[in-house]
Amino acid sequence: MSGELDASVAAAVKGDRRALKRVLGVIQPFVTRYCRARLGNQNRSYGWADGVAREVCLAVVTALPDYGNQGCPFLAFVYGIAAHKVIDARRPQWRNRPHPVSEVPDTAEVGAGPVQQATNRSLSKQMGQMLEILPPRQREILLLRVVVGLSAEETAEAVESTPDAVRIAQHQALARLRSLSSPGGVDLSA
Amino acid sequence: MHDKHDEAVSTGPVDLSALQSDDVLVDVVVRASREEGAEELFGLDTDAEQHRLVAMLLAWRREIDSRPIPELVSVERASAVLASRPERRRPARLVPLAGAAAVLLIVCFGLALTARSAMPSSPLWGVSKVLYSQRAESVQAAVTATKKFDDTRAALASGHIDQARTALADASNALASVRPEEGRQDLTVQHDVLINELQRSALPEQAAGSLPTVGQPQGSLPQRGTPQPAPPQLSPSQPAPPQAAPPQPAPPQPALPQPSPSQPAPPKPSPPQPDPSQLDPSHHDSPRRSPHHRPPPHGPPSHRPTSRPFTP
Repeated sequence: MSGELDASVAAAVKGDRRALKRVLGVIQPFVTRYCRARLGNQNRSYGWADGVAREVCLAVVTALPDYGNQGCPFLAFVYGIAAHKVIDARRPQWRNRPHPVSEVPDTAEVGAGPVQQATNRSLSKQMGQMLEILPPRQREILLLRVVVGLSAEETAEAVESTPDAVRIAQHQALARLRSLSSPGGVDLSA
Repeated sequence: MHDKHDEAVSTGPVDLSALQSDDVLVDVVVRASREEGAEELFGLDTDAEQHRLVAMLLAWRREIDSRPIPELVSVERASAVLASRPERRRPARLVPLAGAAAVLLIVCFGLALTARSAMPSSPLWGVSKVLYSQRAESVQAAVTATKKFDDTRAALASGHIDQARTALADASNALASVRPEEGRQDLTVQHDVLINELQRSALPEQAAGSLPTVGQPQGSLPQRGTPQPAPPQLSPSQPAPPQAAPPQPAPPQPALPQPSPSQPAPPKPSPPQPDPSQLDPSHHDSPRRSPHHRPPPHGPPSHRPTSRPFTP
């Protein structure tokens, strides 16, 4: 994936629009899901997260010509920018800032019916709370694997580690979640 | 794979099969999230705890995907952003070049600065000659004049009057092209002192009349009318102005008879006598000069004649 992607990035920087479209096609879902997972929703809208995701995308595109000099995998390049922007966005002074996001239409939720949606939300909320308990590295790896949908190899590229280390971290994270979510686990609502 | 186990030290030894099954679990959750009702993928063999975990991961992922992924940046916008980049990149590529240029500039500047004060013996003298040719010429002339003064003194000390005279003539030649910055004043003083010395040493040797050059200064005051009959030998090179202005022969003469080094400066460098404001207050030392400069000597002499002369 990375070799293909690198070629697309190089072509996009030289002005190949189709290559640019391919690159954006990789960046946007990645960044959007990552920002949504890290920033959560507000009133069931991802306006804030998507606004931050747009900033990340623009930053990535702007920095694209420099990517070749970074000496890191493309996923690590994108992930690094996204992680920094999210940390910035989570700072209090940022949180309270209004984020106009009218460009992102607040469309109806897709897929499941109302009951399923409610269940999803409650489970997802619980998940979000548990994620905050995980060590940052485990949380990031689990997030990239589950939400962003990267393979263990791609995740390793993004966090500049090895697939084995990713698998170990992910296993530890899941073990932690199991113990937290079991009936005898920590009551998070307390 | 085993070399990675150290990462898991905090939670004890890693169960490789559990590691593998969790990896599969995550892959299945991701795949399931894309298909509706994929929960069935997790068979009945999974226990409640596992089931709950899967449900949570799936809900998490689905919640994130509950709104369509928007087009955050259009291809048009992205390509516009990229198109505006090359201009910004070029300077970045020029940075090393600019750095080298800056270093070169600093070196040149430093060289030029150092060369500004270089003396003929210095390695930068060549640079100085190119960059500050006027100064270089003046410095060279000052060096020559100083050397010739030394020669004159040496010749005088050994009694070689002719040699001394030649050396002094050379010195005054050189002196003509020395700028005030290179100590013209000083050198002029030295020159005048040496002229006097030369005259004094010449006197006992030769009768006063035999050498017009030396005899001249002594009788300078009486023969006011002749503007420097003898000095041409000694000071033909003296600053051109005094000679170029024959109607004002006075300045060189008052200087010659006074060997005191406190006064010699004014005569030669001050050739630009035309300024009446300077001459006016000095009328006391040579009142006879006034007719030359101020044909209409009316009005009180103590007054500044700046505007007065034309009032009648």
